[in-house]
Amino acid sequence: MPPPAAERPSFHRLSWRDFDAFARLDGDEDMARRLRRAERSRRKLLIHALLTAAAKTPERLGPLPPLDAAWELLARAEARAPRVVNRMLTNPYTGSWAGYTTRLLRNGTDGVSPLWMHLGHVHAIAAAAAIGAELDFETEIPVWHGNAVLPSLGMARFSATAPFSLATVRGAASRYLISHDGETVRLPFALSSDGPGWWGVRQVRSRVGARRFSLRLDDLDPYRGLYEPIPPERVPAGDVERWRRLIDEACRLVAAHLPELAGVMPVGLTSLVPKPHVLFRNLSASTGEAFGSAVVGLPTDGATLAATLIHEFQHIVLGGLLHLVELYEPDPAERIYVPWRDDPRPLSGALQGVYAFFGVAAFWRALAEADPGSRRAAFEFACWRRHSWHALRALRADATLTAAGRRFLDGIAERLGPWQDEAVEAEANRLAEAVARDHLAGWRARHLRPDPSVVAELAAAWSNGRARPPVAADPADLPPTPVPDGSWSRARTDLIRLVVGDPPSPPLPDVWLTVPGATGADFAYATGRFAEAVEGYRAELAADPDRPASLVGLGLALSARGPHPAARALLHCPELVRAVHRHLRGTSPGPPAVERIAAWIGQLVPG
Amino acid sequence: MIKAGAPEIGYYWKIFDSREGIDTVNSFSASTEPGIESELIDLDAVPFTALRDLDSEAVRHSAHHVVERTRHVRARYRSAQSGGGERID
Repeated sequence: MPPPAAERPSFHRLSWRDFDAFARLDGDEDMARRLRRAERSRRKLLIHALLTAAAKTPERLGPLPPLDAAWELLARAEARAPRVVNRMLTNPYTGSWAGYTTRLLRNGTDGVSPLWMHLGHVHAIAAAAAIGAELDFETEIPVWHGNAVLPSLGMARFSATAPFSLATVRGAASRYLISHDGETVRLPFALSSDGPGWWGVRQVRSRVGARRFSLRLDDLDPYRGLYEPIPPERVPAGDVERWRRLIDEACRLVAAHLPELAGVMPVGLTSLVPKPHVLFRNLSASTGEAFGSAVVGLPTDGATLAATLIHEFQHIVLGGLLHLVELYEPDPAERIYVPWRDDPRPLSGALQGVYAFFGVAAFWRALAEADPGSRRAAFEFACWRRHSWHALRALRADATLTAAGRRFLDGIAERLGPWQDEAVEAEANRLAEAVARDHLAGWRARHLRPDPSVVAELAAAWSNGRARPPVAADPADLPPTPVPDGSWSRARTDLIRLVVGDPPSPPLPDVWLTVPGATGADFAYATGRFAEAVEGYRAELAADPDRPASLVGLGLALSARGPHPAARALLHCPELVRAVHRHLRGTSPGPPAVERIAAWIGQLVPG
Repeated sequence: MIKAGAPEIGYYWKIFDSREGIDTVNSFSASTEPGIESELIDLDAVPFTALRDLDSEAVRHSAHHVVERTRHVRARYRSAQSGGGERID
C-alpha cells in the first residue's frame, strides 16, 4: 500500500516519447489513458478546492444540504464501486461544471442560476455515483426549471413553477425515486431508456471487428455547453437513429483507414452533444474543461462525421497536453491568419486548429489512398494538408512559443511536411489552391487596413493620370484588425464541395440556390464558366464595389482565364484596391470601375 | 513548467482494465528518459475519503495552479460566424 499523495507527492509527468508521439499523430491507448488520468486529478483538485472554499461561506449554500453529505456519499460509492466513481470523474461535464463553478465562486457571483444551484450539482454527481454503486441512500439535488439531472444517467422532469429548487433522490439496489413537490419519478431499470417523467442519456455502441466504440449522446447535462449551463435539448427519436447510423459508419471508416487512431479515440472521446444539422456546415466545438466531449451538428454522412470526430479528438488531446505543459506564452492578440476561420486568431487558437486539421488531413489522405477515384477525398486531402501546413509555417517562427511548443510543431511538421509533395489528382490540387487563394484574399479585404497615407498617395497618382502607381508599402506587414470590414461568403467553396461531392450531389443547377450567399457569378465560377463569372462579378461590383466576395470572385474568375494585372491585385492586395477605390469615390465625381483600379495597382504585383 | 533535465520518476507500470473510466494506477520509476513534470499533483489513486483531508503544501500549490487556470478560459473564442467551429481553452 503506497503512502497517500499528501505524504509523498508525485506530479503527473509526460515523457517526451509520449509528447512527440502525440505531435506526430502516433499516440496510443496507454498514452491517452495517461492524459485521462491527469484530467481526473485535475477535477479532483478542483472539487477539493471548490468544496473547501464553499464550506467556509455557508451562506452561499442556500437551501442545499451540507456539502459533507456529498463527500460522504461519494466516499461510500467509491468504497462499494470505485469504477463507478471513476466514471463520474471521467464524465466530461464534471470537468466543465468544476471549472465554471470555480469561476463563479472566485468571483462571488451567480451564473445562469444562483451559485447554490451550481454548488449543489456536486450532490447530483454524488447521487449518480451512488445509484451506479447501488447504494441505499437519500439526498437532495438541484432542479432547474423542473429538470433534475443525474449526470451521465438522465433527467427527471417535474412540473415545477419555481426556476430553482431541490428534489429528493432516494432508493436502494436498482429501485430509485426522485421526488419534487408531491410528484415522484421512478427511475427505469435500464437508466438509458426513457420512462414516465424520465429521459435517459442515450448510449451509441458500435463494433468494428475487435474494436468497440461507445459514445454517449448527451442532450441533457446542463454543463455540456461551451460557456455556461444550458437547458436540455432532447433530440427526437428519429434523429437518434440517424445519429446511430452515422456514428456506426464513421467508426467503420476510422477503423478501416486509421486503425491506430481507432484504438485511441474511444479513450479521449466519450460523449457527444448532438446539435441540429446546419446546411453546408460541419458544426463542431469543444472545450478544454470537458476532456472527452464534443458538440457536433448532425452531419450529412459518415465520412463527414469521421473527419469531425477526429478533428475534435485532436482538440481534446491537445487540451489534455496543455494541462500538463505550456506550449506558448499567454497572448490573447487576435493576429494570425488561418484558412479555416474568417477572423484572425490568437496563437492558442491557431495552434489548436493546426493540430485538429492535421488529423483531418490524415483521414482524407487515408481515404484518398484507399479510393483513388474519389474526387471528394482527393480534394479534401489537398485542402487540409495545404491549410494546416500554411498555418503551421506561420506559427513555427512565433516568438510566444515555448521550447515545448516549437518541438510540438516540429513533430507535426515531420508528418505533415512530406504530405505536401504526395501526388493527388490535378483537379484536386487546382481546386484546393483556388479555395486557399479565395479565403486568404477575402480575409485580407476584411481584416487588413492599408496605411491611409499610402492610399491617399495612390489615389492622387491615379487622379493625376499616372500610368503606373508609385511604389507602395509592402502590404504584407499590415497587422490585422479583428473587426471585419464587410461580410464574407463561403459560397464558392461550398459550391466546389458540391461539384466534387462523393457520391455526386443532386445536379448543381437544381441546388446551387440553396447554398447560403451564393450568387449567379459564384455558380458560374464553380462550374468553370469563367467568362460568365467575370461578367457576373462586374455586375455585383457595379452595385456594391465594396463587397469582398465580389472583389475576390472577380480576381479568381479573371485569373482562371489567364494572367491579368487586376486579378493579381484583387487576390494579393484586395484591401488596397478597395481602399483606393473608396478614396476616389469620396473625392471625385465619376470614379472608375474598381476593376480598372485593380488593373492599375496590379502592375506592381508580381505575377 | 518543463524540467527537461529532471529524471523521469513517474513512469507508469499499468495494470490495464479496458472498461470505461478505469485507467488503473500504479507507477514507479522505470526510466531515466528526461520528461516534463507538470504542476498537477497525481490524485488518481487518492480515494475521496482521503481527498477531503488533504492539506499539504503540494496539494495547495497544485490546487492553486488549476484554480488559476480556470480564469484563463477565453469566451472570446466564440465564433462570429453561424455554424462555425469553436474551441475553448
